[in-house]
Amino acid sequence: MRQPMTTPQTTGIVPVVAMNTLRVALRDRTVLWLALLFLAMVVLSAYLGWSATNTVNHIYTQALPMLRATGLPVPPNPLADMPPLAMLRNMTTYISLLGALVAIVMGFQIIAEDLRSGVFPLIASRPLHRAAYAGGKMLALLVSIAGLLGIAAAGTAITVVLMPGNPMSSADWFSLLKFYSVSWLFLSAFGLMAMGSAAWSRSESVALLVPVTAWLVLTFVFPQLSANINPMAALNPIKAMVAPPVSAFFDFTGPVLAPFSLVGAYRDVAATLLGFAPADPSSLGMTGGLTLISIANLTFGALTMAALTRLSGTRSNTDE
Amino acid sequence: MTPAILTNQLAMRYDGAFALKPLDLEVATGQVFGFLGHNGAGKTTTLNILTTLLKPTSGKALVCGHDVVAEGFEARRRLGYVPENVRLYEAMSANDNLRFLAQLSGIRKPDEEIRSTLKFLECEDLGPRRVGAMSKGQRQRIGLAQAILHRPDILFLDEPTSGLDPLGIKTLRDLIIRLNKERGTTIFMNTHLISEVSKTCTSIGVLNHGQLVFHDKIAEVLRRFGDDTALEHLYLSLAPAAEV
Repeated sequence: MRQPMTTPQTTGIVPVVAMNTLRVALRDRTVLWLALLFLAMVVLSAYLGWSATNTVNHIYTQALPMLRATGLPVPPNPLADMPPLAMLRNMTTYISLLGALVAIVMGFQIIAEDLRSGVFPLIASRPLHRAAYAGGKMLALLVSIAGLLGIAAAGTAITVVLMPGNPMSSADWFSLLKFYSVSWLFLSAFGLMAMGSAAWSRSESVALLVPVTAWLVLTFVFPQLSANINPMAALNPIKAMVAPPVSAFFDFTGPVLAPFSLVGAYRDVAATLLGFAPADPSSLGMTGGLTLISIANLTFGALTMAALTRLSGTRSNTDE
Repeated sequence: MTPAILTNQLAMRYDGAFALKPLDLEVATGQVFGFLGHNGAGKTTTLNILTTLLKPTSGKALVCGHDVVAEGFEARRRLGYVPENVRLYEAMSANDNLRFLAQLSGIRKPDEEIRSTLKFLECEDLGPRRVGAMSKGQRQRIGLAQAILHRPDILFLDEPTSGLDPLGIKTLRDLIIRLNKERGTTIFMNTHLISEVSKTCTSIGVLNHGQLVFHDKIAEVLRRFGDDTALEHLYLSLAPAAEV
């Protein structure tokens, strides 16, 4: 007797694929170790920020009696007006460097695992629309990045609460939430790019190299060509704020590349949300930055969807 | 009755060369069809097209009355597929793998169906075991389970006995015959083992260099040619090894 069947709906299959992908990802030690390293760095970043702030305050407090005794003018505490979230400034660097790499590995593994294990032909022989498969994979990526950042946010919140002398207002908590939401959107763009690359390329090395190269270009090359920020300065959370030299080259590359400088845009938005950087007239600003990050997600999402829906049913990287 | 498989000038070219020359083939419902041919003859290409994994460059193929290109979704609902090397998520248990593939097939109560399928295949003990720790024969059994979970009308097997020991071959052969007899499933089996064909199949087709050179019922073949040895001679004359 035949078992009654339901026609699989796209909406029903998407969570099935996503759940299974997350189950497989949780067994992937590479992803887990990278994620743990990232989380440790995030917590460390909060501690380092607090420690640096505390040291400056301590030196200022110790210098006050000496300055008063010698009759010298007493300057204001340089950190007095700094918002409490500014001590998390190193996080923008960790998220744009290590976080983006974790997202790339996650996105790559989500697709590569099905191809490497040779399961994909079995999946392709099931009655499901390829768009549903692609949707499930993308959902798994977005959920896993949200989970990673959710844990990071919880770690940050605990660290911030436990640190003395760092009162947080409700507006600060809201800014922290916005910061992690923007970070999620930013990392998703890299994860989607890696997913598309893994679906597009038959070679795993090429599939991983493409998004990593794109990340390197966006992190180090674009900021240098558009705002003359050298690669080492790109590692500093505080922007150099030095105007590029007046030259025909920068006059051309600045306006052309700045609208595509994804990492630069993220760092400007993050700096504004955490309140540690003054407004930079050369940056895209909050709206421009968020628009660029959203466009990057839509573009990479569409390219990934196209690559996954065109993936040959016989595709298996075990045959390479 | 609608044939289980019907192809009309079905062809596949890679870089201009034929991997499968225009193929006209009809497999009646309820048959165990053995698709014979040397390595590289085009058997797997044919099977990949029929299971909707590959799009043909020309021609038409119907599986249970559904065009594999235009109605791929419907065709996939009616078919099951066991690849030559069954590959699943190694770190997951057989049950977890089967549950995922059952859900993709739209089975309402996957756990119930998994239990009954593993029972049918006499391998309930394999359910909780990690796939990565299974032998080739056990994987093949789980591969067969995933293909029949949704009770397909037609089951495609690509070189199912490849790499199995004699006991594994016999067990798999018995399961295929039971599946055909008890559930009425049509079987389409790629193979190059003559002995398997005569013991399992009800009809055969011989493919040579992408061209179907013979197609008949096995009973008729054995009546005309006698035994396995004669069948082997027939196969070798139709698909000469020197040409491979």
